[in-house]
Amino acid sequence: MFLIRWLIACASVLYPVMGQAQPHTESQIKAAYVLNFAKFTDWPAKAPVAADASLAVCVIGNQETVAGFASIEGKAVQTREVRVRSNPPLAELSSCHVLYIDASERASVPGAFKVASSRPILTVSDAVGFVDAGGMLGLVMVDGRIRFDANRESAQAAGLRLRAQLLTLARTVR
Amino acid sequence: MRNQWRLRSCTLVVAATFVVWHTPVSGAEPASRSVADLSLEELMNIQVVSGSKKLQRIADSASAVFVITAEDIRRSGVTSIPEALRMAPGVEVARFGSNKWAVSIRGFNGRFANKLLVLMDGRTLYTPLFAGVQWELHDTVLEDIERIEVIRGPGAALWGANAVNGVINIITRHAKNTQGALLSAGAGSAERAFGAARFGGSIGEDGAYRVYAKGFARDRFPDAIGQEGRDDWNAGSVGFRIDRALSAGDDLLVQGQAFSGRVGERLVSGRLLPPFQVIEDIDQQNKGAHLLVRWEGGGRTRSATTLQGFVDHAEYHLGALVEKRQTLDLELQQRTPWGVAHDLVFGLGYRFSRDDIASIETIAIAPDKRNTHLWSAFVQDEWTLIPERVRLTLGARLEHNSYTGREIQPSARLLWTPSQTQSVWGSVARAVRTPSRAEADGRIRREVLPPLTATNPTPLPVELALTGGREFDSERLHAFEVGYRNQISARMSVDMTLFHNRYEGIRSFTMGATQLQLLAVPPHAIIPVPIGNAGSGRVRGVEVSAEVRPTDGWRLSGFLARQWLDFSGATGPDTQLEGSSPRHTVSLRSTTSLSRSVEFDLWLRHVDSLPAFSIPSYTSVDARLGWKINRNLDVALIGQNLLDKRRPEFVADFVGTATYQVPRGAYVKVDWKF
Repeated sequence: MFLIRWLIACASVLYPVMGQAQPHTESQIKAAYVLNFAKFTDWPAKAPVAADASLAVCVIGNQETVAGFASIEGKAVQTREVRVRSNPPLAELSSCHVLYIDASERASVPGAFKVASSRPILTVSDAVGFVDAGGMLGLVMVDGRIRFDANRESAQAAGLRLRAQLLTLARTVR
Repeated sequence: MRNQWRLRSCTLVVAATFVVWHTPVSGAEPASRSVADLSLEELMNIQVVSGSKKLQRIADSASAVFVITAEDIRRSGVTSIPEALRMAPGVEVARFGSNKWAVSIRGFNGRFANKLLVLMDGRTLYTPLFAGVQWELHDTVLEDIERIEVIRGPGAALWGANAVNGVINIITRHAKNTQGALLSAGAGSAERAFGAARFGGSIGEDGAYRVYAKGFARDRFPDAIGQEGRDDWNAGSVGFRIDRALSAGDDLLVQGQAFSGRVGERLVSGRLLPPFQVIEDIDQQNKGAHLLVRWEGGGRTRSATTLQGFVDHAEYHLGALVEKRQTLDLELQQRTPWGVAHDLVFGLGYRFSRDDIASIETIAIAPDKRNTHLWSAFVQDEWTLIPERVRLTLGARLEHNSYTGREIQPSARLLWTPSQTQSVWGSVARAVRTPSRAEADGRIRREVLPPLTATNPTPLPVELALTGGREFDSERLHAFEVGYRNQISARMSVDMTLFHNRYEGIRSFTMGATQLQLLAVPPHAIIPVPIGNAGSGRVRGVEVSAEVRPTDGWRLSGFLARQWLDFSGATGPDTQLEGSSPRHTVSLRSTTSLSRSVEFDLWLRHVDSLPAFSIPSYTSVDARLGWKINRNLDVALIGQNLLDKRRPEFVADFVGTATYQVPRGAYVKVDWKF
């Protein structure tokens, strides 16, 4: 009874706080990171351009990861619209602008690197040691928060430029 | 009294909500923004926890969660796990000797506090001997702790009996994040000398390891009149952790540690012969080791399987009193989505504990050997009622233990996220605290009243004996909580919780009929004080914590915890339940970066008096000055308890361990990474 009376007493105060509700998953947070990464990356002129001038974000991961990335579908990156492609066959990776590999799928990292290497594809993963292994941006859990490491050398080798706004926020840059 | 409280607490929250809602803050987000619209800075500020046995944003958890980060630990200057816990709201930490702590959440504090579950990397630190934690036995390299998650309120539906008033999860860093060498050493007054060495490397492409050793010597604390105590403390530990990524997205964790310690203790015990009370200085010797293996399997689906097992051996010698205990624990956990709206987690567990206890005259456990088995099964469903807005979590745990048999512990939690940055939650839960070995089989000589004195006019010495019994049943809790969180801006957040805990069957001790032991040598009388479940009561409270970052280099965080305790029917040593927990606790921490290489941190705490022990309220200030000499070398000067020469925080309960006071202290620490 105590609790119910309490809730009634306080509900009226909390009511105006209502708005659009959005509890979200870790995958959504990671997808939001990927969206921000794309905003602060410059692709070279020779990068493939899709017919509708969209930005292809390819995701290799489980259902939860794919569901999380649905939240950035259609978002704008500079003048381009994001198109998320989930678990594309390796052979089609060359048309991706961003490639996200979930830690649960890190077994596919070497295969994906073979296709992605020397192509202007921004590679991102939350797999441990991803940046050390040649990945460009790695999401890491530090002190209960998600942070990221950057590998500028890998990005440069692929013809990508990571802007300073991005690099200054990275935990480590190599 | 009750109505008055409701009015007051509600006014408080209403007022606080009003302030939060109407404070104009630049950068406050319109409610319609989704997470995809957050900036990098905002994303970096989101805290995630594993409180629900899976990773989750704090704002999305329907319970009172607080996270102590590695940075918090470093900048607070604390040197042990219980001291670090003082940073969390609702946690009561009191020290009454260099090696003795009383730690609890939301009331019931004591050296043998029994309503708290503490885990380190998934291994329970609880001893079935008294259903609590022997804090002097558990340590690790503090620099290797990634975070400590403190979950107030019952976690029993997920974590099992003993997670009555809260769960503390100590999580150490992944071995990949502790590569290279670290040498850390320091010296000072209370912290006489301490040192830790850790080295981390890689195993092939997918694996990493670290090995470490740690040791310390802590000084004796003073007694009430400033004389040096007998509680010096020397201990050391060595350990390792291996993390390895297996093929197919599986992870393997192997972790082990061995420790040994010498803990000075002064024991006051009753004797049946003159002088009827003796004071002995005994060194408590302890040692132990554990090995833990955890396998986590993922896959292409949302489901995941975790399999964990650990073995633990611990020995505790207090003179002739010896406890040896072996534990085997196995746990299987499966997470499976069920339709679009349900996320199911379920698991099975088994724990075997075997002990061998050598009793002494004043503390006796019979029989001396006992094996206990604990079987458990839990299921939890996270049910999305309104997508991205309202979520209901229903869970229950069924356990079978060797003392009381079957116990069921259900919980229901509702989370409402009115906007991206705010959440409101409420929960109802039932939890039980199952009997401990000492409560079932123990006998403690509380004191001996000498003959022909005011308290005992008879010609025989009278022994007061607390006696356990198999009929002692579980203590039961029904808990109600509501909470509100608001990430007001990237620089400011608040978190509020109200709780109402109702307890039944609380442990009680009632004076029995005097028994004459005329044929015994020496002849004496016994007043047995048998254990029972006659107590009941309630604890209500409010906890408010907030964090503000006025500038990039300055962070202020603080909390206020206020509780109202009300118990009845408990007599004997537990009569004091109302007066042995502070009614209010306040903490304010400030961390500042004065320049790129100099840090200055202050921590102010105020803890209310404990009338049960005539301990006055106290205010304490800790300060830290840190200097980053270069990338690899850090030096810090830390001052602790600067306002008092010494102060009492608690007293020993049940066992007549001498109580000491916490002195002012200072130490220097050097960290070298290479």
